[in-house]
Amino acid sequence: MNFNFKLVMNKTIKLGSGLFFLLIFVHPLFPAMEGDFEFTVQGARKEKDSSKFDEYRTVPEGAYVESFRFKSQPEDASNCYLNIQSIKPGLEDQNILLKGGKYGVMELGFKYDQSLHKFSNTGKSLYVHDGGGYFGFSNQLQTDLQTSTNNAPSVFSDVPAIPLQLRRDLISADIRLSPMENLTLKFTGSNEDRNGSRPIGIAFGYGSLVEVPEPISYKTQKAGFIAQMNQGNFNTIFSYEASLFKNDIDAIVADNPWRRTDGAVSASGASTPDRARFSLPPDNHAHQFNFGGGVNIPIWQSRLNASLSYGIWRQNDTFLPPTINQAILARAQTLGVNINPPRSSLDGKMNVLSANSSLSMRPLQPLLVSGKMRYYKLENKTEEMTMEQYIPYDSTSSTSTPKGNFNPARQRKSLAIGYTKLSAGTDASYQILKSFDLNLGYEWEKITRTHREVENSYEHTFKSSLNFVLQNWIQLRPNYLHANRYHHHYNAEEVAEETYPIGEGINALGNLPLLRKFDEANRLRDITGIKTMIFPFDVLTLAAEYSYRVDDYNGTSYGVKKDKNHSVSFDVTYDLAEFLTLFGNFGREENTLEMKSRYRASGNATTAPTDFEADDWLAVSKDITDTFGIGGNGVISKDKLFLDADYNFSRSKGELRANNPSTVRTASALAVDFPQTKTELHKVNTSLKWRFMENLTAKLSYQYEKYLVEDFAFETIQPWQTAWPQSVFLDATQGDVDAHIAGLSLSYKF
Amino acid sequence: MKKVTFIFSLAGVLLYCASQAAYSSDPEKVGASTCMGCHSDQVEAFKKNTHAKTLPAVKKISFEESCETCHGPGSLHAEAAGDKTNPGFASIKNPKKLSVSESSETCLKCHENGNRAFWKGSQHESRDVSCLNCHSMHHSKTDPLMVKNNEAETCYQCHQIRKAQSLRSSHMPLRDGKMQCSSCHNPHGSAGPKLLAQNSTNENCYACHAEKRGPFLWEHAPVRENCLNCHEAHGSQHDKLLKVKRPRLCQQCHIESRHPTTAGADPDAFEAGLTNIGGSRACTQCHAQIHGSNHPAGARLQR
Repeated sequence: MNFNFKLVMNKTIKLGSGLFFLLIFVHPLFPAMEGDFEFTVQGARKEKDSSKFDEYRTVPEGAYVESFRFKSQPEDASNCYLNIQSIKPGLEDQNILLKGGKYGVMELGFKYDQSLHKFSNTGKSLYVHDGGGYFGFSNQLQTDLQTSTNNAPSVFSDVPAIPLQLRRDLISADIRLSPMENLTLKFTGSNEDRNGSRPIGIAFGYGSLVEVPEPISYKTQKAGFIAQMNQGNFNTIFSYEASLFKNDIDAIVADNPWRRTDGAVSASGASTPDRARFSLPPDNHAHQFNFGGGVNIPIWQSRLNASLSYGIWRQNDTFLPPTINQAILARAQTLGVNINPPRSSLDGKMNVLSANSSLSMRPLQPLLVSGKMRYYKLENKTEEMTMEQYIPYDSTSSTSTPKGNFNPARQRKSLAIGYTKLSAGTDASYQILKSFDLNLGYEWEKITRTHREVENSYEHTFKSSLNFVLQNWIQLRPNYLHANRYHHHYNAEEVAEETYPIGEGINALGNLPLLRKFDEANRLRDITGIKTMIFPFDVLTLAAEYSYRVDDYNGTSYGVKKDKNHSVSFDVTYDLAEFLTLFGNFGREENTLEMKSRYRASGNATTAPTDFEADDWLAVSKDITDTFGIGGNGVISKDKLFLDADYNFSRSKGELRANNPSTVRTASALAVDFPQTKTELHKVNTSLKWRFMENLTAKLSYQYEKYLVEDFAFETIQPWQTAWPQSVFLDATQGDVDAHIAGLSLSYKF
Repeated sequence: MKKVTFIFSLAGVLLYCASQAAYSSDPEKVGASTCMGCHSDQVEAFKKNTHAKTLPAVKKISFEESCETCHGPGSLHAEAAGDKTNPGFASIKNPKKLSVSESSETCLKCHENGNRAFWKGSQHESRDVSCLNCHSMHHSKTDPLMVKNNEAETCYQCHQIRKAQSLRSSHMPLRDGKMQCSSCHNPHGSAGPKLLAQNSTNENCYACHAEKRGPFLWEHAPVRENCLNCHEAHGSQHDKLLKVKRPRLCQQCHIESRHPTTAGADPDAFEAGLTNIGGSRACTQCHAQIHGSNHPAGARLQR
């Protein structure tokens, strides 16, 4: 199924484009042409540069075509049409759309879209990539660092820069046919290539790690078919889609900067590797079948919808060898221990069944009642497997030998995780007065999980809202929701016991038994809010929104105890006159998370594990974001001169606070706050448009962008972390931006 | 005098009844040419939008019939000749003045199919959102006939906080024009939660991030269940659209022995580079395959 889709699509696009231009010359068929194009000359001055500035876009300097649109839709009986449009053609974030056909008969569409995601402009690395996933470190440098890490400053004194960005190239095509009045068929196909690199960490053991630029070479191909039939009050749809994902690079192998050769295996089975091998996302494919339909029932204006969907997800890439450490491999061979997994590949199988039905009716004109039922099952049919000789980080292989007697240092078992959600609910909306609606709703949900702490959880949700319109100029929409999620049993050891069939061993500690994971824990949820729109005059619109959500994890001793979200926003638009519109907005959002945890440490043969209540700590994570915007659109001279300007501002502050409720017993358990984080964005956009001829408009534009970031996580990272003797980073950051962009455009409308 | 008063009153009542009888008769179709007499701007604008072409081609409704297909027969309205006091004036159907259900019903006559099949009973319908809150039949300059300049601006009319989130440091490329709200949501109603286009949150994400679909040898259960356990898709101040900054994000569910249980580190320690907890990508620096690993040695998602 893996044909050269891109080549076919490229040829098809060329053919389509050629056909399009041919059609232009065959003028009688397309007499009614209209469109426009915009040509821009632009310059940018960056006082401070970072990849944040052009994270998802190109900001060209010089001349380029901003956009191009062509539309042909003759007013004759042929019913043919052709649309072509492109944004930034030829640039790395270009978009080209081509659509043509005959109304009511067929439509052919092509799309080509490129997009860019820049991760950092500051990345640097001494690794040399061979293009296939191997990152080599100079033998001499390895030897120097293995001799002494004191040699590091000279080794890392001059590190070459590397690009860290991802580009998506998407080509898609579709054809829609209407062979009969009530039948529509659609065939779709697409190919997306993702190429680039992004930072990823690889550890050589518990004390040393490196960052390398993970090579990305993905291809996702999709093909689909949709058949849709409408007959009177009845419509039905069937669709199928295949999605194939292929990763050209299966693994990363990175040299260990501190080891020229694998270390000798110790008595306990440990060996520091000279390389590490890391798996990248495996190829996979999925197929989805959907069938659905709806019917309008002539009683109470009822509508019944039902849909059934079945998905098949498969993955069977060959496993990588469990380690690349030759010393461990040799030791295993000597001992006659089989370190390979029981199968050469996973043969991963997940099936997804989704069934939905809904009924909506109006037994009385002011009363709208609806009911829904939904079943979603993610069934994991993958056969579980036990690794008899588990080798973490290419660095440790236990010498424990008895096979029948489980040893946590040696064995790991994979789990086929899956879940089922069943939900049902009803909503009723009653128009008490012409301008006053009351909505009430109830929903019940049950989630059944395999291989998780909570096997069955239940949730009851009650909803209410009002739609209130006063004198046609005030709309109020308050709402309130209360939900109660609960379970009858939480087995804290479930996953640990199954992954390590008899537990993790006496010296290592699994998750704290009193921990309740927030996505499964008992929870009381309350959400209240109000949306308001006010139109005191035809020219003025005021909108305000307030929302408050609190998730109270009642009964949770450790883990997330409370999660709150608070937001308020205002928006105003004032059409001062035909020639001037002003607008502004303000918003604040606060997220507060409260949790409780405990400092715990493993023991060893002579020391018991550290696990004391006195080492508990409480944490509050708080994020506050203010957003502000103001602007206007003005007409200086009717149909001639236009001025647009706006300013947007967003500032986020983050706190990660922590404290100990009592005097700690273990020094390392002392809780302290992380440094505060902050981001700030200022954006100014202005443009002056002068329509100096009927079809020609000139635009002078200016943009200013300023971005400030304070983030402890990245600020002190250097290629060689002097205080972490065995860590090498890419120094990839997204720092401050301070940039001005000015452009002059000429647009022609034809 | 009483007789004269009585006769005039009777005549008045009869005239009123007669006029009411005349206006209460069913209006008849008059054709777009008549509409154009007063509403040339609307008709000219309509000629340029997709309905003017699809109605005759798909529904076999001629241009002449098109106005009255949505607005109802217009004879009485036309006869009123702009006189708002004339009862016939209001006999025309103005969707903006109809109830939400009535105006939507006008559109659904043709559009209750495809990705609009789940409109009835959807969140938007039950919150009294009408087609006209988002679409403008006559004045839109965008495809598919949005009331604002683009799709996102249309959604932000009600979802203001989403607009604010799009300006956060970590965001989807919405404001760069590379994504739209409808890349993930179907505002007309869907079988999935939160008006998502796919059947579940994760299936929605896999549509673009197929590499995370697996299945994997080593699964990370909360990841497999819901991407939103960790991510805020609409925008976040934290790297990778994370809801909470690492390592706190991971510490919500991990209180095992070894490193995950360290509470924090003060600014001085960071300044001096003396701590690795929370630095760079924190926990995911080593547990880099956090979405699932297919390596035989990847049980802790570190391979």
